[in-house]
Amino acid sequence: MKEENEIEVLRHSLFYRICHWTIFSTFFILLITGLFIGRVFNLKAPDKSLFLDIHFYTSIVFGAAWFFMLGYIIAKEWKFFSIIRIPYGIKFFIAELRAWFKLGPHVEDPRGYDPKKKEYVEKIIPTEILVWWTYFALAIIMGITGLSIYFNLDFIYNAFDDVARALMIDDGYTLFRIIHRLGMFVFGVIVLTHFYAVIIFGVIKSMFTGRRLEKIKYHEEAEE
Amino acid sequence: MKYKMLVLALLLVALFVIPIGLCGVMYPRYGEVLGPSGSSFIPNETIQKIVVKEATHEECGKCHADIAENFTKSLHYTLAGMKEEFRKGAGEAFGVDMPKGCTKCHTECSSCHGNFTTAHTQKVPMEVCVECHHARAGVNYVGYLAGMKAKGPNPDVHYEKGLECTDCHTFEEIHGDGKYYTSEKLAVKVRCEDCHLTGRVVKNMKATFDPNKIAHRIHDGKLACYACHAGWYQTCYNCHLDVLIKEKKKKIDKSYTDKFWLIRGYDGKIKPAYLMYVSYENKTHVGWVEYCPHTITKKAKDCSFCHEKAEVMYPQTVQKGEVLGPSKASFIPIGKTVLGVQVDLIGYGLLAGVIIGLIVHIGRHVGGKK
Repeated sequence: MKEENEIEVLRHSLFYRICHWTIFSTFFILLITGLFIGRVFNLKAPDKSLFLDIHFYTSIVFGAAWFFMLGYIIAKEWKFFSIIRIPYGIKFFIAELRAWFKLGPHVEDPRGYDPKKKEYVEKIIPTEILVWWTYFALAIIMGITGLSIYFNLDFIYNAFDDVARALMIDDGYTLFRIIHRLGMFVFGVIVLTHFYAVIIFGVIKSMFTGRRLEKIKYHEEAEE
Repeated sequence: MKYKMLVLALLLVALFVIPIGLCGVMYPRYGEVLGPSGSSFIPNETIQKIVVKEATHEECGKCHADIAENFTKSLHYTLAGMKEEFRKGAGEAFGVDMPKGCTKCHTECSSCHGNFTTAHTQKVPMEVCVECHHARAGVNYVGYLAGMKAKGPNPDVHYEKGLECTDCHTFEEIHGDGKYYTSEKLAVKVRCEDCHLTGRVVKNMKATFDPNKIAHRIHDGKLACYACHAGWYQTCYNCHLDVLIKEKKKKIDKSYTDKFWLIRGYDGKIKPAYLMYVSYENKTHVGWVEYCPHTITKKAKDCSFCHEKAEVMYPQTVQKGEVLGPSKASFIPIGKTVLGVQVDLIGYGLLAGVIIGLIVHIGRHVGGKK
């Protein structure tokens, strides 16, 4: 139901939505094949080499979708997702964490759209900056470790032998396998949080339709 | 009469002359001993000692004192490896001593070297080793199952190339190096790397190794060569100890050659292990012992043999029990660890944490709306 101070706008372009759902679907393929390859929860792949091939080729699509999305963000949404906004995201996260433990008030939702200028004053919840960059960094880490293991790129993982030994791990190769496995869990944690967040912040529908009712805010108000 | 006297006279001559002649061969006394300093005639005291009744270490030790002294500490003499393994495993579990039949392998110099003459004239043939090592290593090496009762899947590649036991196993390993060992794993010092990393030439054959093979690079230092290059080994299932003790007969239920398990050896390397499933008066004990199968093949097992079979890498999931052998030997831990903590546990912890957090958050929302 549209309220007085709301306006329906295009929140996500078609290109962005395609990237998002490509990442979403390939992530699930990677997750399922990965669980079987890594025998997590004692799952056993009926044909491990087939699962490994699916995992590998899917990861190429997954990685490509991330880079397309990164390109889009740099070109179109850098002012919201810029790296320099990470401290702002952390500040918001800490404030929300304090509020969660009832040690402080909740921070007001900063999102808003300026109909005069026909642009967002603020498009995202600040923690989205953290989530996006954590996702991206994880995708890179999973890509490097996964490809090194898959293609046995020993010149990469051997360089981490000393780091591995400091962590009481046999060698760089084992370290890479551990990172890849642990990365899967971290990915899972962020996906779960992300999934929950998009529901409570009411943005899931806009990722399908592209459109969302946004609060009207003016740049002047935001500057004040 | 004259004829009889002649025979008697000849016999008397023979009785004195022949030993003197032999002594002349073994113990010449004329002239001086040349060559490197330290060479000498055999001393008179030693000559007096050589009245060999039986080739025991006491008798042989009269001349070979160092070897005999070391031998009394060797596993061939003490059988400490078997005794210790039994004590730690079934012995402790059932409160019984090692059956006497198990110690009949106790050796003396004569067990391998024969009598005084053969000991000094003949090299110990491989058949002598196989005769005693007839349960696993010896017979498997030549391609047979225990007791030479049937052919195994394959003999050891070294056997096929004409190598005998003593081509790998050194003098010190067999006769002892003066140290008292409680396990064959510690006493046996020979390693594949001794020849294959150095390119040693044995019987005109050069040992080879390809360091660039992916499997060699990945597993370097982590696996014993025979974890991949062993063909097979024999595992007996359910040794009836009570039958062995009471009836002095070996009774087992089954014997496998198609089972292959890996554990982490005392030196941290992944190695094959065999299962010792022993029953006694309705109780059972399961032990795992690291082992070097003497059925080496040139072609290694492929990756999937271990990496796609949890029961190979983690035999404890199939048959629980304890790892015997030298301390520090253990099952391969299930899952990787960081600073000693299992990665999967960290992962499950993270997932559980976020799920609990979300549930609490939902609960608060629902509570707040009410």
